[in-house]
Amino acid sequence: MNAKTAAIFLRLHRPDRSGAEDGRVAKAVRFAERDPALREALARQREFDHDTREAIRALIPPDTLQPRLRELRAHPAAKKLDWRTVLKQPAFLGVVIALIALGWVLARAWRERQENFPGREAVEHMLALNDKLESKDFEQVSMSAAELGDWLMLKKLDGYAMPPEFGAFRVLGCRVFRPEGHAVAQVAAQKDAENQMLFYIFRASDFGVKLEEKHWRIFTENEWAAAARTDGANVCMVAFKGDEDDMEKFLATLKRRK
Amino acid sequence: MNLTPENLAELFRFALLLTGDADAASDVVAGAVEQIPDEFTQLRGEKSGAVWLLRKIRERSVVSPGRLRVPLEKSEVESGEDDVGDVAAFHSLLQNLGGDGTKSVFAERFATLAEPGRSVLALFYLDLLDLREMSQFFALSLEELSAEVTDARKGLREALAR
Repeated sequence: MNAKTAAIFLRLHRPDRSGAEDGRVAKAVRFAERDPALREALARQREFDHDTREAIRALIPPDTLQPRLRELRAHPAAKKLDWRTVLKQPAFLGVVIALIALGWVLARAWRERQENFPGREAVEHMLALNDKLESKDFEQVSMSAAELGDWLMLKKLDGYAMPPEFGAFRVLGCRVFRPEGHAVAQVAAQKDAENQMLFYIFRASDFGVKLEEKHWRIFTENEWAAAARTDGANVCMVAFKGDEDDMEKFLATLKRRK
Repeated sequence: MNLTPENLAELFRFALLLTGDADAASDVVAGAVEQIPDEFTQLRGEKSGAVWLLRKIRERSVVSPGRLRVPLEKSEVESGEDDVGDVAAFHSLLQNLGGDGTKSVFAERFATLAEPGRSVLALFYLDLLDLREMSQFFALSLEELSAEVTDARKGLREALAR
């Protein structure tokens, strides 16, 4: 080590670290003790550093800081919630997945509850018969649904009536069939320009069907979407090929027709 | 790292030397401590905890922690220039600064030093890290640390004389 190198490392000398000082700094100090100019510079540097350290040691924290930190450490939950940190937690992801699964189960249970009602098996049987139907099974008529009253009377179906909101639909054919020995009026009507639908009227007590009054209950059976409700002693049911969404949209159009 | 009153005082002094304001320094230390539960599990040992806290305090105190020192000029490295100046005058300056422990003119002037010399000199005097740890903390060689300490000593002398 020469004087120039020693001068560089001398500047990093800290007296309090004697014995645990960096090797090059310690060597520079030993070098300076043999060099009058460096020894003088080192002595003045020590004095300068001593004064500066004293000034720094005089800086004291305010009395409020220690209690403030103690509070922070004692109640980490009081910290601001950092969502970026929360989202990275595996536990949070697990909770989200569990909530989604629970929501799916509850939605499915609610939907099943909505679809199930007393007498549903009898209604499903009526829908299942549709797949074997042919046009010759129906009596060809040409009238609006509102004019079906006379035809129903002729078939001795007293008290059977089409709901008013279906009155404007054009009827293609009608028939009476008797599952389990009880009369069911079935009407084929033009639903829209391209599609047909089937309408049913039967006595609720004949088939043990119990539904809310004036409230459509939507359900599906194979490819059929159906909606049924009670109108007094009767059950009215409409069905066509489709799903629940199709039926909901169709029923919404009925409300606008009223 | 246990937050003993002694440790807390040193952390506060570091923040105060960097910010020059006691209230800001308190906020800086509290903010750094507040972060501990989130990240402390990744730390190993007492020293790592101290380094982590010092780094957080510096991040929160210094807007631009800074330039990396450009390679030293040969003349700068070899300079034998006297960097502490008139020690008696410096001593007198310190005695006449006024202020008290928390409203310190000394800290206000110290905080005007350029980075990274301000942080280097603060840690140098606080003696919380050895030179190897300081070298790692600032990503500077010992020669570069020496130059920063030298510049900062001169800067402090000038700042106090203003």
